[in-house]
Amino acid sequence: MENLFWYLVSLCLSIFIYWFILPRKWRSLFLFLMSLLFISLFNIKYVLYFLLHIILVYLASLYINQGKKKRRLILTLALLWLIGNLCFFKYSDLFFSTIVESGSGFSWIPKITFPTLLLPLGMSYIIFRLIHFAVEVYKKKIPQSSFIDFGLYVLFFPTFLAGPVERFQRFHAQTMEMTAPDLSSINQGLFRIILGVAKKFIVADYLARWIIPALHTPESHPRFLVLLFVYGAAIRIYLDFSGYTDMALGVSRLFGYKIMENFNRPFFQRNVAQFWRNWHISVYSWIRDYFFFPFFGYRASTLKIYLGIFMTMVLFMLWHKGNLNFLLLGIYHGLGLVVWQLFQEMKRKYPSIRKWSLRPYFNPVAIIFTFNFVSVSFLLFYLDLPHLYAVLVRIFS
Amino acid sequence: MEGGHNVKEKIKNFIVENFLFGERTLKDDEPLFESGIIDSLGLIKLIAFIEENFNVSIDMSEIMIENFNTLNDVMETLKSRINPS
Repeated sequence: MENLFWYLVSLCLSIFIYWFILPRKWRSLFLFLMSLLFISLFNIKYVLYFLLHIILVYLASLYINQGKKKRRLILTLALLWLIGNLCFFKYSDLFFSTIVESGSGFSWIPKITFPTLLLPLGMSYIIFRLIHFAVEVYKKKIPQSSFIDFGLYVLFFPTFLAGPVERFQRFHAQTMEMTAPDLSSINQGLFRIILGVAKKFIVADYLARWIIPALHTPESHPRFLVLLFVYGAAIRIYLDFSGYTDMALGVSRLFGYKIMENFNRPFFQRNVAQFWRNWHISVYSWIRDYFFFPFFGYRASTLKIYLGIFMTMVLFMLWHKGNLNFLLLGIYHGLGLVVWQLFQEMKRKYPSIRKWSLRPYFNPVAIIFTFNFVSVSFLLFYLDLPHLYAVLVRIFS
Repeated sequence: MEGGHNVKEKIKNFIVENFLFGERTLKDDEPLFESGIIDSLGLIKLIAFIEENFNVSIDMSEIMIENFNTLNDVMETLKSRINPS
């Protein structure tokens, strides 16, 4: 609570300095330094580590921008460096523990312990922004910008911890156009912060305290209540994450930045494809643009496209965490997306199916079905497989 | 390649038939992605249709939502490769 108090005091102070004391040309540098300070509060090593990445990508982008011969090679090296770093920190623990476990049955293999690597906070989001920047510079879609403006985009402290992953063009345009303080922006920002605090720290936390223990003992509760817990658990994930996003967007607004939305009524969508287009929008669209389209979307056969849809979802889930639960979530939703696309094909081929899908009751039924399809799968965020099985048995037996 | 107006009409018909199932018309500035008319797979199909029917090549770097978000965006992307008539 004391930390929150000091965060709010320093936030108010920095907003005052940002809008009323600093001339416009110093604002980017001020926010960049604020972001470095914010990151250093977690760990000073993160600042050095992220600055190294930013400097390397900026130098690479300067080279690529000059249109020199080996620009494709430089882009490839930059991408390998970024993806390699992300994979190393995110999955090396899993990799090493698998090696140790697979050797544990053999007494002649000496016991080895690997040091635990701590994933630097916000690293995935920073790497996503850097990859986006490098690729767009290569495509010549991004104008040359100063190192400070680029660094600010990558480390912008309101969105540093968990996104959204804004696109450089939109962010940079706002940096360039920033003029006077805008009262309506500040009002909107404050509203989003209050909304986010209420969603995350009041409703989501309350639901978590109540629902998660209950899901571990489904046999002690009536069937109907267990079903409500399943829905509540999915809604809790949404409130927790969208509440965080509201706060991030709200703080950004206080500094005059309108960052892209991450959620758009995901539980009111008519199919699983629409659901994912409206859930964690910034990262899902990032994976679509920088994984699905380049690897599976260019002059591809239908089979390759379906494989791409499936693989994109598996990758998206494994990005959250490299474990069995998220692999299963990826497979489940990947198959869901493929089946949905096959249904679309059938609608094109068979007018009777198309006619049926246009009936008035179809939309509400589709929304309820999608909500159930998603809610059941989101149990994998909380439960291991035996507990998940126990919940399903309680509901359906 | 044939004239711009023809191309626009053919692309519009393709979208209406394949993604709106002939149920309604499409406005030139209607967002295809935000309104859910087209998704990623739809974009790939649209690009394949354009390449096959109008003898143009779309570069991989051009495959992004912003370039195909409305019918007008599609025409803007193809601008340099079609006759203005």
